[in-house]
Amino acid sequence: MAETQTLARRLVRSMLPWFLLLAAGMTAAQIGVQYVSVNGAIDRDLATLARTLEPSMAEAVWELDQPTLDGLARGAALNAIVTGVRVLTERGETLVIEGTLPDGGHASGRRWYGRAKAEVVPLRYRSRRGALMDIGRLEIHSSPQVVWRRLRAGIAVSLVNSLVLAAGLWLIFFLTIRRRLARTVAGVARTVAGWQEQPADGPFERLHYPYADELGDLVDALNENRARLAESMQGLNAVNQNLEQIVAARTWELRGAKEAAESADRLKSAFLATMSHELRTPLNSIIGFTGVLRQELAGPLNAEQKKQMGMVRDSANHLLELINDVLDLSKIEAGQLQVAHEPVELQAMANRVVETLRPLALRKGLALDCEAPGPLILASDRRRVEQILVNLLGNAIKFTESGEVRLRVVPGPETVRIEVRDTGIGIAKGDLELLFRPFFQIDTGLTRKYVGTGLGLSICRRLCDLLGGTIAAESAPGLGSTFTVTLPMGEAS
Amino acid sequence: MSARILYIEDNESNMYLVNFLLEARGHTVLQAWDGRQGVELALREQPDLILLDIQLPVMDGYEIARAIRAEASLARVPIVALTSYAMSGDREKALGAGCDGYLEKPINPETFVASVEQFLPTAP
Repeated sequence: MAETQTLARRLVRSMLPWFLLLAAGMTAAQIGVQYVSVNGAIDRDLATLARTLEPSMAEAVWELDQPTLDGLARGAALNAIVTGVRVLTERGETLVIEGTLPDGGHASGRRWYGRAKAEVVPLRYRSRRGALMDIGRLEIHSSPQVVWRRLRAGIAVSLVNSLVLAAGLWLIFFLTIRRRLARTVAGVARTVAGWQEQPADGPFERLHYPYADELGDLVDALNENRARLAESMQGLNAVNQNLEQIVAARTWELRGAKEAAESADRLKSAFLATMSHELRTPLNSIIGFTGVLRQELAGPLNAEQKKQMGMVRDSANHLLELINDVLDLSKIEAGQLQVAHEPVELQAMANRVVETLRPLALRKGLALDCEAPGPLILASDRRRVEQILVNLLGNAIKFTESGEVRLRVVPGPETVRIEVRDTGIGIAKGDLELLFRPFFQIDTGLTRKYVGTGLGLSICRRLCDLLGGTIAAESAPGLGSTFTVTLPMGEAS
Repeated sequence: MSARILYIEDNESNMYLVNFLLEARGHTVLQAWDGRQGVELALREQPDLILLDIQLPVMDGYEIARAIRAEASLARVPIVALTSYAMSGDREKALGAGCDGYLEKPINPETFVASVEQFLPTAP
């Protein structure tokens, strides 16, 4: 409501000065016209009075009849428009003064409110011979106050008239604005405000405005916009619902796919675990009995039999290695491999691994070096670090025909670098990227020669990841390879 | 020093292999093919050590170990689990069920007997 009042008041306020100015101007003009007319009327009256008095005055002056002169002057001075009367001789001697004359005796003294008036008539006497003689003059004075006195009532009427008219018009205007404009606008505003509480897509209260004017156009436009909004919202809701259904359906499908994948993953892990168990059980017998026979616990063997039993043992051990690698990989992929966080002394471990593998290197005539400062303790998983070292050194020896294999441990402040460098066949650039994939063994045409699971590097990379480290390979064909493992020192516990 | 060792195992050739290796070193092997039979035999014969396969039908090695430990007369007999399970946590599970040791299959025929003998009580 406050706003609507403001609207009406603002309209009135902005118009009021002009209205008042206009009213004041009209009043002033009216008063001006009255003034001019009253002034003229007084001038005419004065002239008439003077002409009327002149014969009697002239007679009295000629006769030197002072009492008559006095009486005439007194009578003239009684007239409402006359403030003073003076009769003079032709020589300027004053005969009679009645009432007041303007200051200094000037006939036309000026005042801020108007000019003093005076009607001067010569007094003439016609002799018996018929000649006119100037015998004196009659002055009848009037003052501006007379005019104003006459005007006063007229001015008052004009002012009251103007005031009443102005106030009345103003009131009518204000009330009309309030009733016609402000109230309807307020009603429209209320309805529009009410729209915000109604759901945008539902039915809504239409705006009502009874007149077909500019405001009516605005109201129609608002109604139409609101209707369009409702339509759009309904459309949007339909799209939304549709979208929700699609999303729900997709989610359901995806959940199904995820569950299928997880179940397949569990099945795979279970399958691999069962397979390696099932494979190991007969392998237990094969390795066990081969051992029994080779140790001649079941009776003596000749040299050829012993050699062949050795081959059985090597094959069985290789098979076991393969099974262990597959199991390791499946455990890592199933997220079942937990790494320990224990003190690992790297120098002793490096030396031990090198000594374990030295027979393999000696068999191929390779030099095997170990360079590890110590003692060097990191917090990691002993078994897994050793597995990485054995794998990398084993690979290096396997793929090197002549020269040397060198293990180097370089400690840093936060990480330790383990390098395995060989002078072997090397790896082509394109193959470096594939190196850490499972079951990848570079086809050199010598594949038969290098027995292995093809899982070693893949396992090494995953173990490095699990231990929070990295593994990288650098190589060129014919120039040997360097594998670099970086492991975090870990928190010393 | 010869000991009486109970071996609970369902696989015939593994049974034969372990039996052969242990007897070649002068030990006596008592054979049981499942858990029920194993516990009965243990109660009756009071062996010096029990070798226990984990993957057994009906009653698995962990249950057998708990059943043996539940018998007052067998509370102090060393139990060594022998398993081809190599999943993480198997060792802890075996030790938690009351086993004293844990050997992985396939066994190393050259070191197996010595590994088992480690768990024998030193003096009667």
